Amino acid sequence: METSHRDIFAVGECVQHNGICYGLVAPLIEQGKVLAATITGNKGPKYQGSVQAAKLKIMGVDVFSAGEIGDKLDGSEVIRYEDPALGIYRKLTLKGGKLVGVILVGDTADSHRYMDWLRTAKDLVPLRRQLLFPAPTEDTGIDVAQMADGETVCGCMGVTKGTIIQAIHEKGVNTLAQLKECTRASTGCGSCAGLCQSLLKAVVPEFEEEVKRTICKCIPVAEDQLREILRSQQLKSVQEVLEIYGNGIGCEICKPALSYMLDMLWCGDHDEDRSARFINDRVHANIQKDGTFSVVPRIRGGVTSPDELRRIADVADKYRVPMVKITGSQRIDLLGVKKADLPKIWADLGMPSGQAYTKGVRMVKTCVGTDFCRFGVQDSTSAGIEMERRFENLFTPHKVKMGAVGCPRNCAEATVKDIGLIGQEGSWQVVVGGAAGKKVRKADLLVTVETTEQALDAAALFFQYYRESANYLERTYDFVERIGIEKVRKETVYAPDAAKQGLLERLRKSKERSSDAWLERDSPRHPTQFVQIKPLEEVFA
Amino acid sequence: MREAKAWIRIARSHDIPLREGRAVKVGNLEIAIFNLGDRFLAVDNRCPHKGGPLADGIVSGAAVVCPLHAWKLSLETGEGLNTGCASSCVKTFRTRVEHGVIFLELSGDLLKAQESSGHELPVMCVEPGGIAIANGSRPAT
Repeated sequence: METSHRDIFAVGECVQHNGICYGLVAPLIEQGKVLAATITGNKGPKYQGSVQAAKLKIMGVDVFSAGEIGDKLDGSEVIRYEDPALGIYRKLTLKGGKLVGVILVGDTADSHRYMDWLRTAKDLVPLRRQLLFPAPTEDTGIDVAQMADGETVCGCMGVTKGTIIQAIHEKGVNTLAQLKECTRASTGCGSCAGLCQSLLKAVVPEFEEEVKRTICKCIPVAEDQLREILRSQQLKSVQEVLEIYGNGIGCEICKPALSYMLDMLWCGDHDEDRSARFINDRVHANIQKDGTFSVVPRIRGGVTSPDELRRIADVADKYRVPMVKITGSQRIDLLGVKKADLPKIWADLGMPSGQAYTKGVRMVKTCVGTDFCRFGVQDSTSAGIEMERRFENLFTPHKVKMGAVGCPRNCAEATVKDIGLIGQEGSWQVVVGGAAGKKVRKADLLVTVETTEQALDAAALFFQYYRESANYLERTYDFVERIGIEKVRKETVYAPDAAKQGLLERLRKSKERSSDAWLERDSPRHPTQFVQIKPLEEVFA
Repeated sequence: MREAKAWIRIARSHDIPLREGRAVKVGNLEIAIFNLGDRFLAVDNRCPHKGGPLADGIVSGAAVVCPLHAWKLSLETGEGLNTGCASSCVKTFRTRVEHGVIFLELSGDLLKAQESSGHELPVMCVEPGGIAIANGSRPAT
């Protein structure tokens, strides 16, 4: 790894070693190991060159190649196997009873076996009958059982089967994510992920396979991958996405999911298609079991006024609303409203939509904070109202309910909210991922800060991070558990400044383009949006 | 007995946005009409499961998904696609479009039932501004 200059060492693609320039990650890591030994004065064996291997997917076909793959090798013999119907091709090149090259097309599951033979220059004479396919074992399902402990599973990171088994037994690893963290296996090119999963499955009884989450079968692309595709391909309409990457039809699951994704990715500057939205998001009210709707106006922080209450009461009278109910979120719900009455009710209320019908920003529940409470040490009421104002009208992967409390007595239950602000003497705790619904979960501490502005900023970072990274219909409590609060902190409040600015800037843009959905009472998206059409002819006059 | 059938002018094609449905009241029947781009399909606007308003459902190909409990019904055959529900689970109606007007075919027994029941339910009408109002007061409950 030394160069002509004694103070300069080199590894990787800029280096030619014995006439070969290595462009892959595995040789680079082998070179790195030699380099590390050299510069720390622990010179070990010299770098002898690497066995080159590539595992790719070309036009949907798995391809693997390693070692010498040219046809004209002196004294070499070639073993070929071909099954065009199955789309499988294998070619092994042997020299002196040892494997020197291999090509696999269509099925690359055995690549690790051949890599091991190549690396260790294994004497294959006794295995002559099992070159193309391993001898059948009693349990043909578990190919990993045949692997020797010293055999490499992850070529990129140089992790052997033994190391993985050890990590499973000694460190209690039982998911692929934990395995990655403990051993770094499958963190390079990722092509050994399947093998790692089989090992986990074979050794850990309670192992659950991690499947990349797709929205539904209409679009067979993992959700995080799909977000990248939509961004890079500049796709802005649901139908377009379905036609290019899906079945062209879509369903009640993927259409709202895609609608959310596009709205989030383009900060509201997408082609809004109401046919792809659930009825609640077409008429901005929550459909009830009898086809009527519920109306919940925004009452920020749960603070209202006699005037607002009078208007609500008048509306309830005028439209004969069958039920008026105080919700669990410090708001008022008018239940049993007809679709056609919605725009008129919104106008009479003169209050903005509380978004109680959508996967979006619901509310901030607050306590009376320092205004009246003897114990309050932070003005949670103002902080909560301000937080609601900053995030309202935005869509989220699932509903977002928040809380702000003026002291740790936690009267407004901020510790079981998606985002909570907990006031303490001289500081705020910002907590995330709490739940008191289908699941009950105490929120994790994101950060403790001194000022209200810092607390709102921290909440904004988490809010936007959740919007951008969670799967559709994934509540914050599942999201935070899946990602891990440590990583959430690193990607939000402890992220590099540029990353934080990016999150806040995209949130600002989305917010700028958002508006109170109930303003559609004056300018409906479609003339019959809230209307039941009357037949053109009176049939039974 | 002669099977009476009648084509009635039910709505204008531009009343129904692409891949959405709208409900139209015909006497005491409520019919959901869907715009599939190349054609309009019509079914009874009550989900056979719990009576959900199908016109408010999300369209998936030539099917609609009820907004209440996600029963998926074929708009062509009325068949339940994700339920044990047999074919003609929900009643379908034939439609045709002429000069931007959607016609709906009503069969004899339905017409008869209509005549006897009259039109007691409130009829909605469209104001010039596009917002609907009920012309009658809400029936007492």
